[in-house]
Amino acid sequence: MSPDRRPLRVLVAKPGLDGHDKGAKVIAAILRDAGCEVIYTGLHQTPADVARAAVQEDVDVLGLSFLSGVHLALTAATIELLRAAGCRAVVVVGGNIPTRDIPALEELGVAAVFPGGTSYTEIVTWFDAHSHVIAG
Amino acid sequence: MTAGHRRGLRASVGQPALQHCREFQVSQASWPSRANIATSGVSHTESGIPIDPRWALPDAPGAPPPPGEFPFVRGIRAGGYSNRPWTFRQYAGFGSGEDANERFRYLVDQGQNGLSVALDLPTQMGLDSDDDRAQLEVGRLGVAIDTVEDMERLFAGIPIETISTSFTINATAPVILAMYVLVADRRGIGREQLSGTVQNDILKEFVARGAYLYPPAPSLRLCADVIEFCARELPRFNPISIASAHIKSAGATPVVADGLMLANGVEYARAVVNRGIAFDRFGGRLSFLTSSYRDVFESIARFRACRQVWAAIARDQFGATDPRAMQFRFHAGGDIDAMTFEEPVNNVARMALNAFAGGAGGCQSMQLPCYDEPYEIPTEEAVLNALRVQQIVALESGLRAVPDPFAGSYFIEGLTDRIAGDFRQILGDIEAGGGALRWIETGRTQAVIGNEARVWEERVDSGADIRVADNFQRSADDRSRDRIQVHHGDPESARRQVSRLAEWRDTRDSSPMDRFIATLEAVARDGGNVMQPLVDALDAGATVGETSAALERCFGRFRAPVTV
Repeated sequence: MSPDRRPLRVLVAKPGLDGHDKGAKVIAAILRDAGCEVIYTGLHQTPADVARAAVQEDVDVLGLSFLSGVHLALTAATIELLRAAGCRAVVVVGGNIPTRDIPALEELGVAAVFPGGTSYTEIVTWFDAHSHVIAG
Repeated sequence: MTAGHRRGLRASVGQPALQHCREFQVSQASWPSRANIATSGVSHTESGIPIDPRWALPDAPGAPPPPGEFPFVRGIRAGGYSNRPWTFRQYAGFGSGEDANERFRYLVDQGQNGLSVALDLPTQMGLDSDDDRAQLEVGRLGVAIDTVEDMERLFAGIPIETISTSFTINATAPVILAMYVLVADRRGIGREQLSGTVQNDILKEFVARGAYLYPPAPSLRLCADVIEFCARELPRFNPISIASAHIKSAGATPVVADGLMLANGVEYARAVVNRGIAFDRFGGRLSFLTSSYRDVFESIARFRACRQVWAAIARDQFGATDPRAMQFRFHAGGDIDAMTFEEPVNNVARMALNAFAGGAGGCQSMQLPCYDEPYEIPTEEAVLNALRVQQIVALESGLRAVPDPFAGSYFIEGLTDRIAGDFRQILGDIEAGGGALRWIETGRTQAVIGNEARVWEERVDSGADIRVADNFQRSADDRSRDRIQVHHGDPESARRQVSRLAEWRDTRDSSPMDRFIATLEAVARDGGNVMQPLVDALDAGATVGETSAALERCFGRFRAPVTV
């Protein structure tokens, strides 16, 4: 990230019962090293837990990480609660996301989807390219 | 040509294959023809050369003892796979009991000789299918089990007295094992006849995979309850499968993952020995789960080193005297993390290499990831393919002929020694820091794994570790992601599960059940063994969610400190 901008505040969240969070933790560490302020929720979060944390922490970006296939319903629920609480954070989704579900996620208002196999460099590049818009 | 001439030729040319051809010309009678080659494929090579199963440089200086002898570096059985190959066991389960039962019967019909049950996340997390938190996950990644009737449906028509079954279950392992025992009790099958495995490796859930419920110390105590119960009543059942595969998936290198697995094994053994149970009484039933990864040679050496180091721990640290209690018996998985989304059919080649390393490394049973698993839980076609890969490697490659076929290789022997040394170093560091439980409670193990995950991902990202068709020779127009046919769960089966559970709650008589739940809680608080009280409560109609909630009232819920 360019040093002349304020750092992006990012919440990395792991909604649902699945406990595989290597991807979530690695991306949190990589974004932190790229200059973001990163908070990770830990495991087993409900959409309400995630939305509450996003509001409390006043984040610019909310990253949702999924493996078990529940991304559509939990992303929809999280975004609904987020907007109801007046939070305008940009939402991105990563993990085991089939190509066929990407349009549906975008329809829900997800700004970017990083399916399995996306390189971390690509993700950091996306954050860099969008940080001025996101941070206003 | 004289005999002396032939000896001279061998010395000067030094090509045994050529020598065989020449010998064949002069004395065909001494060589078996194709027609004479034993059909088992075990006692001769493809060209008919007879194989001595003990072939292995027994007299070489510094050579390890032969297979079947302490420290079992060359395998736990003297004959290796000559009598039977490893157990072919593919992981399966989705939907409701009858959906999974259908897949089980199909796999048994195709020659699978052991079952491996995948349970859905709510069951793994102690939630009933009608719990709000279970929504969307019922029957998704595994089969949904709420009541003993679900378990009976899962095993309908399957002879549980003869077929061994492995359950990937940890936090709720005591509940699931109690249900399985109850199914046997109800069928009139003696508990001593049951064979199989519950994973029951709760320590690794805190550092990888994340399916924990209670804090580490009471979780360890429940795990020891299962081991103690099996030692008393289920002598053929493995009460634990101490796993490194998930630790590796969470980011540790294969060697560090196995080192942490062995350290967890020490912690479990200590918990049981501290109850006054001799190691010899349960050591022979401790089993392990480690996988073959991309590096075939390191994998083989790792398995050998595991056997060597565990045998020494059993004998020297825990005073084992029964050789069986010193044997590191393991289930070999494959490298799910090496599988690519791109051109997924290529994953079959990775599976075959994994299977070869598992077999050459002397595993007792095996499961491979399926080629479509980067996408979804496998289709029936993909599971069958994985089973066939195992069968091809076991039965067509000649791998069964000689136990530990790489013994004596400078590379493998040297690597085995080096890895055994690394294991001892890891074990020593963890013991010096208070043991595996203490390391986990203080987040040290998690930090080690997290740092390694970061290093590994950056190596893949940079292309330093080649993944063909992914970070190397990636096709610009690979359409795999759009074309692949993946498993689709049937939403109807989740609805059926929920309505069946509602009916169960309505029709059962809850007053005896409440008494048994109260007994379970009392025993849990007093430090007694929870297994029989669990069997009683489930028999009286209690569910996975209700028994897990009862234990949570005693032990509390663990909230992991967040470490990034």
